Amino acid sequence: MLLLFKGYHLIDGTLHKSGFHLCLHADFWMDPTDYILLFLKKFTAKLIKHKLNTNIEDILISRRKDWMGLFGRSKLSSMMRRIFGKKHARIGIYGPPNVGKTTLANRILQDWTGDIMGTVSEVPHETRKAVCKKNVKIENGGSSLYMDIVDTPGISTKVDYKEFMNTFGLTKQESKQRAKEATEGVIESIRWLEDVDGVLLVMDATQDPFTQVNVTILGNLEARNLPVLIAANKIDMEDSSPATLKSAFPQHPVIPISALTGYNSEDLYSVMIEQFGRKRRWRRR
Amino acid sequence: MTMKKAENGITVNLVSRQKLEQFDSKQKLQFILDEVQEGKVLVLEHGLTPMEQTELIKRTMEEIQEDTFIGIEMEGYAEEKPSFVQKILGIVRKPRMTVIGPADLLHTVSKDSNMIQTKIIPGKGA
Ligand SMILES: Nc1nc2c(ncn2[C@@H]2O[C@H](COP(=O)(O)OP(=O)(O)OP(=O)(O)O)[C@@H](O)[C@H]2O)c(=O)[nH]1
Ligand SMILES: [Mg+2]
Repeated sequence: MLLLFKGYHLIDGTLHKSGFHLCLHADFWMDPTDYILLFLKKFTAKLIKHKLNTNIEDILISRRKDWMGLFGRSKLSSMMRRIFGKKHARIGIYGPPNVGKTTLANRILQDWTGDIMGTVSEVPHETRKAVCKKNVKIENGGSSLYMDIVDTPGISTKVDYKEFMNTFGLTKQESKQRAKEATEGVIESIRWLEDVDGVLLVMDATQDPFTQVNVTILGNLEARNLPVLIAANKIDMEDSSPATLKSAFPQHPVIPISALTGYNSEDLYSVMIEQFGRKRRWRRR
Repeated sequence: MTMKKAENGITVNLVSRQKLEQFDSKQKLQFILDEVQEGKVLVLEHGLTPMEQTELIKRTMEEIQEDTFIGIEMEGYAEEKPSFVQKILGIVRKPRMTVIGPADLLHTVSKDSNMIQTKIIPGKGA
């Protein structure tokens, strides 16, 4: 792909000032719109970095849709993908502890590969290391999607070993060990966030939707323009209220499910294919 | 330690936008963590961006100590969405106010889209 920019060129995402008025970019997979945006991002960031006390990348990302309107959607990258590749996305299953992430991951794997992701427990922070299962193909009607699915440790802002002792009857030693691993797990989850193409955010439909962890994860994904799908889990329980979750997050698809009984999983799969199988969005590096 | 806290009272600091703007992101998070680890509750006039919130959770996890620091309680609101015109003009709205404190002290009672209700209960862990 050949792009002309007067006096500046961009190599592998880095802006160089030069006498040449053209540059050659090797990444054919990149949407030209993204390419132009990336250029503008680097360019403008350089120019006004010290003048504006705001994050220029955020401005450009939020403006991306406007640029899209200006330049039009490119056919090239989707053509390339159709010729060379299958649809493939790495999806992280995220959420606070104990909302049913692993239960859901196990269900997805059971339905499509017969495999198992990990152990499930009523004691929070059961998953303390992320697990990735590759090439899970899910299908719905005529469409399908290959995914790498990552089951992540629940994210929390606090970990108290005494809770494991007093509420769940673990020994002091077990509790301390679990707490230590739990803090490391949260860090690992946050690191993985950089490496996923989309997120299946699991929430407990019996609980308050605006918890800080939910707000933080959603804000993070929105800022980076990553696709997200909210699974309102545990709707088999009497006091669940998926409608509350739906009205709390009207800007995202919210699918009520029960990972435990499998209720509504068909619906979940079809929205997953639709949401995550779309043309891969621009990712911030 | 808990007793002492209760005797001396609990410090609640209202942190102005001006104060927060003196810091870069890293300094801001360090400031918050230092204060919270000393047992203070902070009300920030400007909350943290989602990226800063994420980083704060990560930093908190690194700091957790079995008997002295079990983490933070944080409640705030997301950034308001800028309108189309604001986007064109490059106006970025700042995240709204946020309350942050030690998790063994500060407890969220309820939170909806307009109000956050918290309680300070000395010496009560999660
Ligand atoms: N009633 C009901 N219980 C569920 C459902 N999904 C999960 N659970 C239960 O919720 C508890 C937690 O499930 P997990 O799958 O371990 O939750 P998790 O989100 O992976 O938790 P961490 O790994 O600790 O972050 C277990 O007791 C599950 O049996 C559901 O759809 N309905
Ligand atoms: Mg789990």
